[in-house]
Amino acid sequence: MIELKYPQYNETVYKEQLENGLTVVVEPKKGFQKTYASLTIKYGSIDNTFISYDNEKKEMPAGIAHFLEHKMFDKDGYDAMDVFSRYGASSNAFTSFNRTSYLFSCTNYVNENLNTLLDFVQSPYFNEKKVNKEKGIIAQEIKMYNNDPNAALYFNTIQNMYPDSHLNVDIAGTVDSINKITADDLYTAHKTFYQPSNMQLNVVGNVDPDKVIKIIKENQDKKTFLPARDIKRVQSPSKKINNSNRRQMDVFNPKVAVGIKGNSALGKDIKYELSISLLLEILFSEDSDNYAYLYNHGIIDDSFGFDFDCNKNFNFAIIAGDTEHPKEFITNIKDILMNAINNLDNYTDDLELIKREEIGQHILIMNSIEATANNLGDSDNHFINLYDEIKLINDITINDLKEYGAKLLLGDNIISNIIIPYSNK
Amino acid sequence: MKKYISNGVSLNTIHDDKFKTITITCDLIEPLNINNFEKRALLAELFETNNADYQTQTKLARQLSKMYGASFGTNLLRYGNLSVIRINLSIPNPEFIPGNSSSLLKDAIQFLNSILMHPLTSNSAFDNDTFNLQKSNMQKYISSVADDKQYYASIKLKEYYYQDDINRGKFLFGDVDQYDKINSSDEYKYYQDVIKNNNIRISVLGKFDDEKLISYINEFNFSDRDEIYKIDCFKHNKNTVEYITENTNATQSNLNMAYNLPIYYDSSDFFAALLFNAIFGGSSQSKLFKNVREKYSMAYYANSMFNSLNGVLMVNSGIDANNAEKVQSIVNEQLVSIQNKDINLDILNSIKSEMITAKRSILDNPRQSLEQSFVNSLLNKKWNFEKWRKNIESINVDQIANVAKKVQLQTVFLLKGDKK
Repeated sequence: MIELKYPQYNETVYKEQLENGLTVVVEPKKGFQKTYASLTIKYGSIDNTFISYDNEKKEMPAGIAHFLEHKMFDKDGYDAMDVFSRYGASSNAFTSFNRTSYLFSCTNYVNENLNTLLDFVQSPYFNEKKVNKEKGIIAQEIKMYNNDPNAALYFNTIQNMYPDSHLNVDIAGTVDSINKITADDLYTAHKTFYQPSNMQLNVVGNVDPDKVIKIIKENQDKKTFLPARDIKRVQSPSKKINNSNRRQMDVFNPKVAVGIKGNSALGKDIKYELSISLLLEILFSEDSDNYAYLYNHGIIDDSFGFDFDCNKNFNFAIIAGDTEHPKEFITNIKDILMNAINNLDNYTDDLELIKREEIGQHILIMNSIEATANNLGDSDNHFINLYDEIKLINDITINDLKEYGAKLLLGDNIISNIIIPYSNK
Repeated sequence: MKKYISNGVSLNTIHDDKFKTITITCDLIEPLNINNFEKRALLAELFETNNADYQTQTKLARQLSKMYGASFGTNLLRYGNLSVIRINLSIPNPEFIPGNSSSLLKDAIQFLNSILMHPLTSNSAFDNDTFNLQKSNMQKYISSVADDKQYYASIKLKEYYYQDDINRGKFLFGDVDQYDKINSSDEYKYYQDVIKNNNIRISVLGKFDDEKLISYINEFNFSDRDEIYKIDCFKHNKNTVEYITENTNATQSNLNMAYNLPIYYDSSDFFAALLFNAIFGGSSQSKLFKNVREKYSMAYYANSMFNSLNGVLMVNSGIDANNAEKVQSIVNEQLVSIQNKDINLDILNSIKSEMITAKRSILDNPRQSLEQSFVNSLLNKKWNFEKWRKNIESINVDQIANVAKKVQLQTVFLLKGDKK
């Protein structure tokens, strides 16, 4: 077991990889009532084409990772959620572009809940009847997201940045694609991706790390697993981009997003991720003159926001908001982006201010058991956690922002996307 | 600790060393009055925007960054007959920031003082540019509320349900048209009334020194208030069921239902009502989840909420329009099954355990802890976890069935999506 100590924050993170490949990360939090655990599989909506464990090339219907997440809970004669509930734990799960996570939170029976978590995620049980029954539920989930213009804007923008990749479909798939999913598909996906070597279990809360590791080891030792095999995803880097897009929805004011598609080779570099996040804060946070100008001219309002999503295989930034002036919104945001690097020397003081803010935000994360568990890092980023990040943020300079900013802010990888009201033909 | 700064103004402190932040809340409380809805909503926005000490939004934002990314915002809330403007502020505990800026708490309280006591004004009116921009943004926000169908449906349901008590029913941010009638000096007059007469409760949670905190807060010079506001419960007195359908251009329909459930926080069957709601639709073990979603596959979400200040139970679901009648009858069947004591004891025990876990977990969340302490103070309740736990554990099936028998359907609102 590796011990990572952060005396400045009175925190220690424990990490161990078990013999079967499962990675376990534990952080004890004294004084807290709760324990939160999340079991994360490196499998998400974009991993749709792959070489299966049995060495066959598979092209799965869109939305299968999310569908599998739903169906894992449904066991022979009971639901895994009910088992957690018996121990007073609440459980949940979610699927993103490249991860599936199962989690629980409890104040008691940590051992029982950990065993329940590992057991239900590692024992597939599907049949056609159960699979077909789920289709109605997920169809309503898809329609719920389709009905939400902010979600639609966000996913549409990503789809236009990556029209030639699996990012071009919503995480949950479409009503048509999920209707094609079969029990066999779920078994294949589970066998291929739900190998212990492709999983990480984070446990944060009122726990003793030695005891937690022992429980997990005992659980894994009782089971037999197929030998670990490398997972081969079939995906070629996205080359196409749709530079502008507009659609109509039932909204009052137009909603606009500007998307910036990053070079996928850079996503593994934590310094790139942190530098770009700081750069966007300098350019668009409420601290910035840009924000003040756009706000006071009625081009943006309080709905304005931005986000940088950085992963091993893809990274993009989205800047979005409601506006009565979509054209001005897009022109101004693009101008700010294209002039950003040349202006950066004027922003040395701003960088120090934004760094302070970021450090404060990281301290805020430490207050929350869940947020801490979601920021412990994984093998994609060399297990850099929130405590390591503070150190890295402190070291970032204006030159880092220039260097990394220049790699992201290229004119032809910036797109715009507009949702306009029906009445506004 | 609870200390009265002046009549109607209190300071509450909760000491907890496990958190790495200090969380501050300032609640401004007055009875709901629809004539003030727009002014009050605007005031909450103006507090967030600027003041005489930080005259632009940028200066204010930069001060927050300077205080190590202090988070700050205002909310507008409704508790029964009371309206609350909540100012939230939190800072990292100085122990955990480089150089140990020990003045950080003092800075934060001074910042709160600026927001509350030093608005940006000229000639007995709010700064006109600030006021006009925030007014127009608020009008845009209200016009855009229907973009979010789930939220819109829940607002409409409340409007119809509380027709006889418009203060509780009307959308808390008011009407777009009414904003046109307010100018910056009206708003300033209202502000002065708020500062003079609203009950104020400041709460601080984390690791800090009480005496120092009190000395910082004494600088506000709060005057005594004439009136202390109390919670009033809502008594519903209608016997007919009202059905309303509104069409919208959407792929999903929202079916929302309101029931009268005359049980209040001080009723003898209050705990039975909490359990009734959890079994009916308030948890993932509930009958609505197990049936509307799992058994009939008709919804992704179908849940219920019980409000013990207004004696009301509300059901929300997202469904296909052509299933609307079927879902209503499934929901009703679940209610009848509880009335008939058809409650699985294992599930009841699971639900009790989950509720106890959730209650205990509140202590891990500074904002939830403060919220709990705020509600208890409004209700004049002394809260004790062990007592609460025993009350929950003692509830039996008969008591829950008796609650179910008091439930009466009043309002059904269907926001009908007519898009394929």
